[in-house]
Amino acid sequence: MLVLRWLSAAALVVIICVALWRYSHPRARATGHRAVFARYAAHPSAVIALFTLIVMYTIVAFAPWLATHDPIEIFAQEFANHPPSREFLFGTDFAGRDIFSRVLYGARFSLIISLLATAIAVVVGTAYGATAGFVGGKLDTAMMRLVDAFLSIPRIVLLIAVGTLWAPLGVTSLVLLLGLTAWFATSRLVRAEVLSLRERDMVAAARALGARDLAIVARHVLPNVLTPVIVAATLGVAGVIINEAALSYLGIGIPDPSPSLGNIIRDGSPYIATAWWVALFPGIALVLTSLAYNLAGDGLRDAMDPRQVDR
Amino acid sequence: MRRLLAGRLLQGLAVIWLVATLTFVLLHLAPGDPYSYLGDRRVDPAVVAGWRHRYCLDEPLPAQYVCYVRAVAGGDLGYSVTQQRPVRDVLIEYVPRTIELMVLALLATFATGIALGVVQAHKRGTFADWGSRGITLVFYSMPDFWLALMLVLLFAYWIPIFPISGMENVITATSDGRWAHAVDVGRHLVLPVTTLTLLTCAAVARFQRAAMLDVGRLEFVVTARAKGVPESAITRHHILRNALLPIITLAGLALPSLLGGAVLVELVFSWPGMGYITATAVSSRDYSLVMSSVLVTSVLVVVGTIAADMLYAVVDPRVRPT
Repeated sequence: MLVLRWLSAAALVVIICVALWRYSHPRARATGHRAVFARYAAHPSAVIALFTLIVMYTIVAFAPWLATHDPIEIFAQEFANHPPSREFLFGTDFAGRDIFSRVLYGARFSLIISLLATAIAVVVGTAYGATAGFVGGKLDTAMMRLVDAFLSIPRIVLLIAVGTLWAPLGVTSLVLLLGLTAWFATSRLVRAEVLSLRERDMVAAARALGARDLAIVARHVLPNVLTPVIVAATLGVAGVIINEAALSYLGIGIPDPSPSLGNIIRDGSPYIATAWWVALFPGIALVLTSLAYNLAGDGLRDAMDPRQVDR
Repeated sequence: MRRLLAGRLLQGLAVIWLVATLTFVLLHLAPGDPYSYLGDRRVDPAVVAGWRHRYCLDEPLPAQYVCYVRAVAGGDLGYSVTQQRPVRDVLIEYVPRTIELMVLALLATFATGIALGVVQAHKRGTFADWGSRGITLVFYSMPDFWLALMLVLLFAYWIPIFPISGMENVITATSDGRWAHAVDVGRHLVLPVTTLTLLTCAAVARFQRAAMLDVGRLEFVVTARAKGVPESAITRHHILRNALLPIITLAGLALPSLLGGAVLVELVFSWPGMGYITATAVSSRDYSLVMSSVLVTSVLVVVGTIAADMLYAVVDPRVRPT
């Protein structure tokens, strides 16, 4: 029964991949979005990364149907720190919980939380950077000094500090915390782009036609900063996933017994010498995800900006 | 040169002042104050009131802010509830350990990264190029604490070469002599430094490779090649020397990520540094200690960045203001 469910998940992945493959290899010369797709598909590493992400998100989306056990069910004491077997594919942790199911559910938390947090970071960073760059002057200087200050604090230290002050965090506040500490670099990027866009003729023309600032930013400036922002956001997801795991590892993130990739590793770290499987498997899931996002980001950068030659 | 330094110092001070203000704001938005969470420690209420009075927590907010900035500027960072001594004393004990780790990690990261970048640019497009880029990217994508744990598993349990904790100190020293002590410290440093190097050398290598390829396109390189200078000599004398300059800026920029990485790496390896003490202060909600470490890391980052900028101005006259 379970095998059947896994097979149908695999079938779904195949369908998605075939559809994407057809879309990225148009018969005629492609333009616009399809051209970006075709250029992306020319990078083998980026294609593998995208495939990995599709697999990951499919598994995570159907985690309740694909898990072999209840992630928080505690099996009898003789199953504590049980090595990987047919029954427990990735083994069990010190409390006798199935690591395979915990990793599925934990990855679900981590992947969804990191997407939401990155979305917050993109919106805040773009708005902040666009405001600073477009208004300019003293406001710009003050706003950017503040970003300098934020960037001078290692992100994990800032997260630990805020996490300590408000512990224990709920899921909503965790998303907010991760999102609101991830926008600094984006805002710098957007500001730099906006500074150069502001001087373009199209902006002067729009202004001469009587367009208001907000309309100019919305119609002419923001669409043009989209490309670097999308690339930065893709790379940013990897960072957010790792930071979320670090917080959970420290015990500030998702509270027990709910699994997140970080707190499974935390459960395994005291027993690393004897029950290595507890910390190993969630870590592999983390590395695969963040590596896939890093490779996908690199692929997107090359695909979306044809001026930048691959070197 | 002096004007550049003065300008950068002023900017740095502004950043540190902003960070201090930020920690003040955070502390006041948080529930309670640094002395509300004493856990199961029994402290005489009069003593707690004494701490509150000392850090002006019983005064109106503007007065508290002035008091806070004055205290921080004077180096008084509060009282650590868990360590039961002033935060300053705690930091004086632990920060040098972090700096020690940082300096070694920075050196190892840049040596590895630069070497990799040079080889990758030289063998561009070959298996060695994309293979090494792939491997470093895998390490770059790893969570720092997990890589540290895996190295512990591999090199302390499965192949027991390196110790993971129990570094000798004055009290537990069994071996005598300075040399033996240095060897002991060194053995405890190998794994943390390796972890940090593996994590960050991808960024340095990528930057160095791009810089090498950029310089390789310039005309003086073409000229050298036309004159018949051997390719290895071109790489060594013409390209590498010029491509090393921008790396100095990267050294300043790499500090936040290295210091951030050090927090969890120190925790896993029980390296008695600032990251370790911060991470262990989390569960006991030691506000003063955690917030001070925010301040101290940002000071370290600012100082490092200024040092990198000045070094760059020294080696490259083009960036000096006239």
